[in-house]
Amino acid sequence: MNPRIFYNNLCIQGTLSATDTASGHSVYNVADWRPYTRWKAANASGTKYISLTLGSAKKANCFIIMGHNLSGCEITLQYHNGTAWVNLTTITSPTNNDDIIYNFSSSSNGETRTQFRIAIEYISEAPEIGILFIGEYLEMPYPPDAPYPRYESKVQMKSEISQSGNLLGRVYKYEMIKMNSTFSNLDRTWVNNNIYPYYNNHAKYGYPFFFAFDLNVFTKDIFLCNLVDDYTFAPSIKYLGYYESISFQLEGRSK
Amino acid sequence: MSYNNYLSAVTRQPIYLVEMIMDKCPYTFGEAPCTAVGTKCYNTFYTCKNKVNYSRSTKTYKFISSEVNIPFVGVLPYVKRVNYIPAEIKEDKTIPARCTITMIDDTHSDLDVDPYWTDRGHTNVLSVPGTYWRRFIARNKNFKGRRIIIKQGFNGLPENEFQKRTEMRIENITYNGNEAIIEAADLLTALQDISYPLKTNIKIMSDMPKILFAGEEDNLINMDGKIGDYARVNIFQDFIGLSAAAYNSPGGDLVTGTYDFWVFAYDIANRAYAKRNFSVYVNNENSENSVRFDWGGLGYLIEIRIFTNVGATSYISVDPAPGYYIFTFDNVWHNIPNYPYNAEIYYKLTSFSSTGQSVWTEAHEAFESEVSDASTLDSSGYILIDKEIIQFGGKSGNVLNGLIRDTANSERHTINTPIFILYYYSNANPFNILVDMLHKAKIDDDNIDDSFEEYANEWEGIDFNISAIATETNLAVIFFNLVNSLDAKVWQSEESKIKIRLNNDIPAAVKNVSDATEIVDNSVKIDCNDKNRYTRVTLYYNKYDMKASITEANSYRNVTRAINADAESEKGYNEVKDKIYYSLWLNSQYGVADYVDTLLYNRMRKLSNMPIKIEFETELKDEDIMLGDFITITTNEITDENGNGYVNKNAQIIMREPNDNKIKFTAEIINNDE
Repeated sequence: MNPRIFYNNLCIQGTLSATDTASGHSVYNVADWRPYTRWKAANASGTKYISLTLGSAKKANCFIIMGHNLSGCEITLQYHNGTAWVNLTTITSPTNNDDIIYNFSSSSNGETRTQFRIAIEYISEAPEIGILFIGEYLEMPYPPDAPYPRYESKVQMKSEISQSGNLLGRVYKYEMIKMNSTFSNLDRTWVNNNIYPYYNNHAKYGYPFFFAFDLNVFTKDIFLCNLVDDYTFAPSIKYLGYYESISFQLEGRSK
Repeated sequence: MSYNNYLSAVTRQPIYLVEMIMDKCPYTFGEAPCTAVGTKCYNTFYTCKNKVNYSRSTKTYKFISSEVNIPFVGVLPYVKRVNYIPAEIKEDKTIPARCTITMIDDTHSDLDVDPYWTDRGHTNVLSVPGTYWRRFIARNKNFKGRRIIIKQGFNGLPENEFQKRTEMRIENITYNGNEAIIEAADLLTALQDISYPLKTNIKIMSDMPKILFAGEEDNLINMDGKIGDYARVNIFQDFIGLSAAAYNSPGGDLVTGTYDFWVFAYDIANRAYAKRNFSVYVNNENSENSVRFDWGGLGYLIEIRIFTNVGATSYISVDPAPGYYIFTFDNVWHNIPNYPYNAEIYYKLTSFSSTGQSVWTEAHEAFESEVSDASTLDSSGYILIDKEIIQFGGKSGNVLNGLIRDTANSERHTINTPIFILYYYSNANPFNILVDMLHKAKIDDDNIDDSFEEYANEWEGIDFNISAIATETNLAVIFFNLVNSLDAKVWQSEESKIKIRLNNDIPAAVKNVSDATEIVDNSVKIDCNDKNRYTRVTLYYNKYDMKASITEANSYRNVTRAINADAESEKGYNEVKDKIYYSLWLNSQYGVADYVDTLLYNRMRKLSNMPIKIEFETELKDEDIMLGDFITITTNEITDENGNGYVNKNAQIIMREPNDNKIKFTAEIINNDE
């Protein structure tokens, strides 16, 4: 699988509603790209739905959930065909407390509709969701130039030793993830139609997005990240309808 | 894992949880009782469109350390940094703690903050104008004095197991680039906010006359007054018609001997204006066993008080109505009676004669004054009007009665003059007085440690009192003056309780701190603390001039000094260093002299051999050592005269400063030869 960027979240573009909501945990919290602001259901009974209604039909072929307590739940992305709700893709959330869960449509191109929803079943406590992404992924035409690191991990820690040389303790502060990749010889038309909209409508404003290098091989390597603060977007045009290269410097938090 | 498990683990991720408790109106915009219309408010006072119906409730905003992934819902990861200026427990006061919390700002969606988000026409959660802290400051301008609580926890710990590490009052919020900096100070700073004389909105509702001092009745004719003024004559009238003689009474049991009496007449204003003295010989052989007093009518008489040198120090109060009283044996035998020395006969200037001479008429009515609102005044106390100190003995509705005017400094006061309240306390248990002062500073019982009540219940020492203070001061000065007079220390603990400990009450150590397992490498500093060593201690007490400054030595009746002659000698320190204290709370109460002697003796012992201060750091695992705790120290950084390092040396923590993954402590060594 080639690298994928998930930025065009339909949840921001439509009206959201939920089966029920606990006070102080609006359903719109799922659309603000912040895993720490959450929708939370009012109770733990029944099937919970978060529904999205768009002004015009748009395409969705995947969903991602980050920041949740849905361990063991079954989550289904559905669309409305005008008559009934139809399942698009289903996943059972693993019980290993992974922060991010995702799934993609079994059909190659997803569905273009005005109404989507996720259904959450087999809940054991009032469900919470920090980020809900429903939309279409942007897949790069091929992997980045090799060699490339999956990601760099930088851990901040502080240790103290005693007057006698004993280790007194260590404080773990945080882990930062960095991902650098370069894509050479991209088709100019493809770049103009896909990368420029991604950059101009989303990335250059500092909005986060999900990024994954290869989910077939590295199934857990999907990160919420953003372009680094001093990023320079400078695709260099080449002859014969190509771009010489485009580089991405991303940083994000560990899961 | 529990909090303590995380604390003692080799590697863990600490988290700050900061809670800000701000005002919030509980009503819904436009729904009764709120009658506001138009653009909706934000349920804060400064955005309220219907302030007359605004009700003050609270809302807690929660923030955690910015580095962590969110461990639980309802918190925002905005806490970038927490810096402490720690409290310091000093010899005669406590420097309150302060801190600054740096918060990251963010283009927050305003969801769950704006109670009417969906009604404001927002179409995109990413496009709400402004940032979190800019909006916060604009909506909560009255943040000063609101509470902020800092808790400590670890990643993986449930929210309800986070430990409170301080509770403070917000003093200021500044904004710098994309950070908001919150400045806060501990609860004891609230004492500094109350200044005496206390300004009020209370006003007198009528003119008050001047009280002149005539001395003798003959001087009245020369007094320069206006109609309505009073003049005081301090010569007692003779208690006409009063007689006393030995008597045979069925209840009498006086033995043979001479009994001296001072009998006073009191008027409705509780003033003594007439008296007569008696010496009565009682002879048991004549069947005499008591003394009988008889009296006729005396104008203005409301009460008779009999003082005797063989009776109680207080008087015997007698109702004049029966016309007689029989004095028998009183079980309570004390010393010299404390009877009134000066009469209080007032004359009122009622008119001027045709020749311009003032006409004064004897007046016994009680002085009283109506004020605009007496509800916030104590039931009795002292007030300041213009520059005159006036004592009031009671109040009835808005009328202050039983006024005692300061005749030496009396002035006329015009209607609508504001009054100031003076701080005053009559004899009481000192620990209860301290709690009362904390309550005045709006520190409620949730933030007051049980140590105050425990000491109050155990206290067998003298009562403390303070005369009305008319010099400018604040409640913190008065508070710590009492703490000092008790030879105690007061501080705010990490659990946000105000605690007290008497200096001679040394508990068991909570922990041993050693080079091997607690003290961080290269973190030790020693201060021999010579600047706080003294050769003598002086205490001024029994203050009589309440308008003089607290440190004006001549405004005190008593001074006592303890001297360490060895320290002052040529072979000692060869110098005189005097530590001077001024006590507002030690006056003429029973037992004060012995108390002062003991106080100065203990102080001299300590100050002549000032304890060493040792500063050291520990790792986070030892953060359970709190301010004020007693510990033992084992270190080679300081030795005895033989070169041996300290082993299990007793010390008290007088300063505690958390700093990221370490805590810096300053401890005061307790000298065993004190």
